[in-house]
Order: sequence, then structure tokens, then C-alpha cells
Amino acid sequence: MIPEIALFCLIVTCFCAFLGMLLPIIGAVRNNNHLISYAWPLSYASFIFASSSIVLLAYSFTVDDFSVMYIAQHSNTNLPYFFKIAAVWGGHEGSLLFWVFSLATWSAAIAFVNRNRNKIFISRVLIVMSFLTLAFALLTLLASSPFERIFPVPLQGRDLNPMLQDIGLIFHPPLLYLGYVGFSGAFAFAVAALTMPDLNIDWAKWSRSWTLIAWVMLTGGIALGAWWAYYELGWGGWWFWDPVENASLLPWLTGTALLHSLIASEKTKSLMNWSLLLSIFTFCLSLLGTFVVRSGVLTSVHAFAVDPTRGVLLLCILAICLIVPLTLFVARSGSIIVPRLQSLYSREVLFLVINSLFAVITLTVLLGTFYPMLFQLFGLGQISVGAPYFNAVFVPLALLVMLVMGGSPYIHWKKTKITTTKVIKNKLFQQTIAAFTLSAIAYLFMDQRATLFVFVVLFIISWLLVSLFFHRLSLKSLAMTVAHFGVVILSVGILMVSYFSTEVSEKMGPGVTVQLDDLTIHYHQTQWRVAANFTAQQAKLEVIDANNKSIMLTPERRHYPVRVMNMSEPAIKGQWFRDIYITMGEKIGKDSYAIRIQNRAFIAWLWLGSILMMLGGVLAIVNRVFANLNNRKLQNSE
Amino acid sequence: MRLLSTYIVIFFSVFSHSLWAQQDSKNSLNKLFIAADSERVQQVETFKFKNQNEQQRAIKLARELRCPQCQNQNLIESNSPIAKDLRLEVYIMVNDGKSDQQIIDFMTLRFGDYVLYKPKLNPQTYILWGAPIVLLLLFSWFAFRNLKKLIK
Amino acid sequence: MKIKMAKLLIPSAVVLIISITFMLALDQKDDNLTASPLQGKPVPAFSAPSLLQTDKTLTESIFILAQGDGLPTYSLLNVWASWCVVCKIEHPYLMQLSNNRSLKLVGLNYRDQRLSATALLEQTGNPYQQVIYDHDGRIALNLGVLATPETYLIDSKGMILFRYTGELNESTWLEYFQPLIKQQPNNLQLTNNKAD
Repeated sequence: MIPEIALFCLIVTCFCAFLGMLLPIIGAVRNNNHLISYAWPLSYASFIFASSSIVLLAYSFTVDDFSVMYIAQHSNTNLPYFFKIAAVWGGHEGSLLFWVFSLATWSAAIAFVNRNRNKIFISRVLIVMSFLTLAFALLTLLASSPFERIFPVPLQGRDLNPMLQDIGLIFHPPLLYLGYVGFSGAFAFAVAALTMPDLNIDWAKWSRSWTLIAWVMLTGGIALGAWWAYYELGWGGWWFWDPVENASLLPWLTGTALLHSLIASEKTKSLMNWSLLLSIFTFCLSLLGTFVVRSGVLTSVHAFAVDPTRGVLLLCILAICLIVPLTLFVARSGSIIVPRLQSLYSREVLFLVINSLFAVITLTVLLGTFYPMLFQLFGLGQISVGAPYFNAVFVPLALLVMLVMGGSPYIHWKKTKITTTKVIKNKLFQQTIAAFTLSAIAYLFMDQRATLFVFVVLFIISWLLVSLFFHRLSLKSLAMTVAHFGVVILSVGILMVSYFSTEVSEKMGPGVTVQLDDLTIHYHQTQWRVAANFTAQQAKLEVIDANNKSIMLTPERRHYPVRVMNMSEPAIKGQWFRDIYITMGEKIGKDSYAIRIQNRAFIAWLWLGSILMMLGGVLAIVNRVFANLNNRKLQNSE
Repeated sequence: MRLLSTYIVIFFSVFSHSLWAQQDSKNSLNKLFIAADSERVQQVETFKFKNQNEQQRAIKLARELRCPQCQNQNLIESNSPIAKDLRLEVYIMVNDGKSDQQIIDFMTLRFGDYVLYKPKLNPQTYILWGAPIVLLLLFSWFAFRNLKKLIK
Repeated sequence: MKIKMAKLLIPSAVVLIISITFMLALDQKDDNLTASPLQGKPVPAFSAPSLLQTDKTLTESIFILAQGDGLPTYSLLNVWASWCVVCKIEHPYLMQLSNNRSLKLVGLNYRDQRLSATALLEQTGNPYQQVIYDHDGRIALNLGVLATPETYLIDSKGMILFRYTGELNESTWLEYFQPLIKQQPNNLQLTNNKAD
């Protein structure tokens, strides 16, 4: 009964979303204010029904209702409670329902927060949001309903994929989806703005907070995915340039450009074209990513239950989301204001350069990702485009971005205040000297693995770091400083982990000792461990470092009986400047295993850098909330 | 057990989407391939390199080569038997002092350019390799033209 | 005005082209037809024991076929193993092909145990005229074998004409192999072959 109620809730969501789209449109055509105001209650209603639907599905998971096919395939009575909830978005059908839920939540939030703003404009934003909710609710209903029953009812479920039974993965997918879906806000604001008779409204200002939240979530989602890959997959990698990863990186790249572009549009009404197009493309790239992942159009390790019908439906949604806004954009491009620039030394120009660079990076990654598909389509055979290509093209472009970022302290909005170029030159000279000194000192501490390229990267990172100190630190620029400092930390981590990691693979059994750098690793014994839903063989290893400090690490090989899967669980000792990372490989010999010991340099800096970037985003949001409150107070007191 | 290990390979995936994984039909190739002998596994898992430089070169090279039978994994990350075979082949050739190019030629002769994660520069990949430069020039020109118009 | 209308259609046109590209890409997934780089090249040199006659050594010369009436004009190299499930599925069709006098069927026993391989052939029948015993997978590696089963069509001079990965059956035979075989009215009459 419960799953049917949930299904019914989803149908009602469709209905509300449909009306939420239709009534305000009719209202807009007939100039009927009453009809327009229906956008609000209908947004709230679809939120209530979509959330009921997903909550009821979660409830069915907790009571092990295996008559529901989706639950039978993704859960098991022995599965810990936490994972039963996480299993709601653990499969294709449930994750689509999660999309519907987040879209509905997002549109209700936009409706609520903006209830007192320009009614006509916000109602149009809600029309777009309702359309998206409707599209995804229909997709879920027609092509991938999680509420289908099976008969006969299985006694036991197939269990959640052991890969997913992990704390990192409880939060990674929803964060990623919230990021993707979050950009629908920016999309809706841009499309609504394009339909307004006067394009000169404050849409960029209103859109920015939503974009910031989406960006923070997406950053978190990607970082969490990388972290999970690092500690779970067992070879110490964190980014593989797989099509599915690229699919999440693409909206992040345009989203990052959009964040900056929106600041320019808000402050000086410049880069309006860029902001509109970036809003549209960021969300469309999120859709493209979803399409790629679920249609199987590209070959990826990320095996998904692939279904071409879903692919075609998603493609239709994507096509509509591209055609309508872009046609509107072409039609309205004449009326978009492009203010004159007062000086070349202005932040508008700097942001234009940054936007262009991000566009180049995005298009390059996009081309690289789809090149094998196009190659095959033109009958040229099969080709692979992987990490070496992406590293070769991405790294120089990213360094270029960082160079430009480091130039920001001297350049102000509209017109740079330091009038004499001599002063700027002087400052730039100082910054260069400081950066050079800093990178040279760092370089001297490195061993022979540090190449000239390492020095160049070090210099650019230092250049960015020094520029942050040259900035006048204010409460307003704190968010930017923290986020950019995150970029510095992240880049140091990437550089160090790529060039200064070491590893050794040995056949090890009780009594065997292995040396890696300053570490002595001693194999004590092999032991068994029995958990609720798996059994594991565990190697007990003692690691002694140069200071004679000893720690115990226990990598294991797990066997999950329900899905008949074996998984290797690495043991990691995280430190500030390195991770000791030990994986237990296959059994070779009587009581011996292939043990792989890695010394991953500076890996923690990757996670720290990502957290700082997110923190920067959060600070920017907090800043805006306070600014809004202040504004309201001022208005009230007047 | 061997079958299991190849299944795991399929599941080794990085992002969530994936994880909802149920194998699709395309993975059928993986299922066909199930032989592996522990002797060889031992050889490749505990390979002794002449020195650290050779080890790093071998690992870097094996990372740039695609396991010809997997969905999208390199010779280091894949646990399938063929990947282990080829990884061992790369390691042995590195230890024998073969150059990177010789090893790449050995692989492409047998499995085609498909195994190269870094595509060769040829007329078919001019667009791929030229794209970043062309795009950079295009956007610079575009920005420059725009700025010229906007500044008096 | 007309120009403006035309401009309005640009996004739709571009998006339509992209969508069609994706639709076509969704349609064309065929993993079994990865062209072998050795296509058009001779079978790589090898020297390995025969599976069934332990004392005998086989080399690539077994694919050089003597010309003559009633003698086979093409070799079919089939990569198989006793642990391979799909190989068992295609086995009956190989038995059927072995009746075809214009084909010389050669097996490549890949990474197998001699005992289990011979036992299987005794049990289910041996379609091969010769079986190469490739215990360490060396020959398969030099051939660029992707997965078992895999079947190579080789001409009388020992040149590889075509490679197919996956189950061989009548429809794949008719679709891919038959067109490559030059019609020779005297000795190419496939049993149960409905094609002309």
C-alpha cells in the first residue's frame, strides 16, 4: 500500500508541476495577476508531494518491503540502517526520484525566499522550475519508476552494491545531484530574464546566491567522489579523467566562470551576455552529464544499468533546455545592454579573460570526452582519449588561469585607481620577486625528482599565494581570499602527489619486513574478521618511521556473500605531508599476500584545498545573507 | 573466484552514478575472460625493478595504456588477467631497457591505437590536439574585438 | 526581418544536429567488431606444443595451405579454453563447420590445463584438425586476443583476413565470414548453408 501512495504522490507532483507551469503562463498571456500568483502555492505543493514520495520510499526501504523491485535489487535485511536510507538514491530509479525531489525543493525555496520580489519575474522563474520538475517527474514515472512491484515476492534482497556501502558514498551522490539541480536555479533566472520586456533587472544579483549554493554542493560532491575513489578503490588514485568524472567537471568549470561573471553583471551590468549563456550552459552540461551516465553513450568504467529509452527521453529534455533559451537569447541579444568600458585596467576585463579561459578549458575537456564517440561515428575506428591527453591540455590552461588570478589585487572595478602605470609595474615587480624567492626556497628543499616544470608550477602557485597577501584584506574580500587560498593548497597537493609519491609491491607474510623511504613495514599476522554483511581477511602490519614511532595498519580483503563480491579495503595513515597507504592484494603462496605500500605525498592538501574552496563559497553566501538583512532593515527604517 | 575478481574490476568505479552499477551487456566481454594463474599474478604484483626510476617509468607507461578488454581502465588499475599480462609485459620490457616508444609500438602492433590513452598525433587527431590552441586564439580574438569596440 | 528569422533558427538547427549525433551514437555499439591491427598481416611467428600430440611442435607454418583439389583453402583459428563458458555454446557450430572441407579448423587452447582441455574435447568432440597448446597465453598476446572465444579467418598464405570476438554462430558466420571467402564452386558447399 505504501509504495502505491508514494507513486500517487509522484503523480500528484506531476500534476502540480504541470499546473504550476500552465496557470502562470496563461496568466502572463492574459495579464491576469491572480493566475500568475498560483505559481507560489503550486511550487509548495509539488515540494510537499515530491518529498512525501521519497520519504515513503525510504520508509519502505527501512521495513524491507522486497515486493518493490527496486528495493529487492538494492537492499537486504542485513544491511545496516544507514545504508538502507542511502540505498534510496543507490540506483538509477531512486536517484531520478531524488532529482525530482531536489528540483521541487529548489523551486519551493526560490518561491519562498523571493516571495516579496518582482512578482512577474519570479513567477517566470517558477514556470521554468515547474517545467523541469514536470519533465523529470514524467521521466521517473514513465521510464524508471522505483515503485514497481514484483511477484513472487523474494524473501531476501540482492543487497546494496558493496562499493556503495561506505560513508563517503552516502553523501557523495546527493551532493552531486544537489549541485547539478542547484544550477537549475541559475538557469531559470536567466531564462526568465530573457523573457522580460526590460532586460535591465537585477536577475544577476538574485541568481548569485543560488548559484553559489549549487557551486558549493557540486564542489563538495566532486571532492567527496575523489576522496572516496582514493580511499576505497585501493590504488591511491583520485581522479581518472573517465567520461563520467568529466561529466561532473564540465558544469563545475562553467559554474565557476558563472560565479565570477555574475559578480561583474551585478556590480557593473557588464558581461551580461556571458552570464546569461553561462547560466544556460552550466545547467545543460549538468543534464548532459546525466544523459552520458545513464544512456551508456560513452564507454566508462562506471557501469550503469543502461537503457537507451531513458537516454532518448533525457536527450529530449536537454534539447528543449538548449533550444528555447538559446533562441530567446538570439532574439533578445539586441536588447542586452553592453556598458562601455572605462579602462582596460578594470576587473571587468580581467573577468572577461577568466571567462574566456574557462570556456576554452570546458570546450577542450568536452571535445576530448566525446572525441572517441565522434571518431567511431565517422567510421574511423576506435580511439582512446585518457588521462595523458587531459593532463597535457588541462594543466597549462589551469596554470594560465592561476596567473590571471594572481593579477587581481591591482585591478578594480570600472577603473583601476592607481593611475600611474609605474606604481602597478612596481607592485607587479615586487610580487614577481616575492613569488620567485618563495618558489626557489621550496624548490631547494626538493630532491632530484623536481624538474624544471615543477619549478614553473611552483612559481605560478607562489605568484597566486603572494597576490593574496597583496590584497587589502577586508570582510568583503575574505570569501574570495579563502577560496583562492584553497586553490593554492589544492594545486600544491596535486603537484606534490604527482611528482613525489613512492611505492613498493612485495610478497609479504608473517615475519617479512619491507623498507620504503624512511619507513620499515613489518608483517605480523593474518587474521579473520567477521562483520554483519561480510567476512574479511586482515593483514596486521606494523609501520615504523624514522623517529621510531610505530603504528599498526590493517588492510583487508572482504567477501560479500549476497552479491558474491570480493573487495580490497586499504589501510591508510593520514599525515600532514603524506599518507601511508597499504593495500592487501591477491593471495600468493601459503600465507603470503601481494602487499602494496604507497607513500602518497601531500594528499591531505587536496581535501583541505577543496574544503577551503567550499568554505569560501559559504562565506560568500553568508555575506550576501547579511547584506540582504541589512538592506531590509534600512528599507524598514526609512 | 576468478570470475569474481573480474566482476570487481567492473565495479571499480569512481563516481556514484556508476555505483548504481548493474553490469550492462557491454561487460559481457569481461565475463568471458576468466583464466589467471597465481604464478603470473605473483610475478606482476611483486615485480622487482632495477631501480626507482625504472619503476616510475614503468608505472607511468602502464598508466598510459588502456586495458584492451575493459570498459575504461588502464593496465595498472584493471585487475583483469589480460591487463595483468600486459602490465607484466611492460614491466619486463622496461627492465630490459626498452624505450617507451618501443613498448608503445609493441602494444599498438597487437591491439591497435585503441590502447593508447594519449592519442598519436596524426591527421585524424589534428582536431583533438589542435583544439586547445585554436580555441585559445579564437577566444582571444573574440575578446580583443569586443574590447576594441567597447573602449571608445 | 528575414535575416533575423534565419538567425532565430540557428540554435534549433545546431541542437538538432547534436541530438541526431547522439542518437546515432546511441545506436552504434558493437564491441565484437574491433578490427585487429594484424588484419592483412601474416600470423605472428610462434612455436608451441600441440595439445593432443605432446611430442609435436606447431609453428605458424601450419597456416600455409597447399593448393589442390579438395584441399582446404582457408584456415579458421579459434581461441578457446575449457573454462570458457561461451566457447561451449559455440562448440556445436564449430563441429558443424568442421564438416566443411574447404576450411582447416585450428584451435588455440588458451591458458588452460592440458588434462581438462583434452578431456573436454573427448567428451564433446574435436572440431579442430590441430590444436595449439598456449599454456602461458604468449601466442594469444602476440595475436592481440581480447577475449575468448575469438575466431580468425586466415587465407592459404597465412594472412589474417578477419577477426571476430565472441560467440561464432550461423548468423555471424553468414554476416562476416562468408562474404570474405572467395567462391570456389567445387569445394565450398557449406552444410546447412542457406546462403548462396
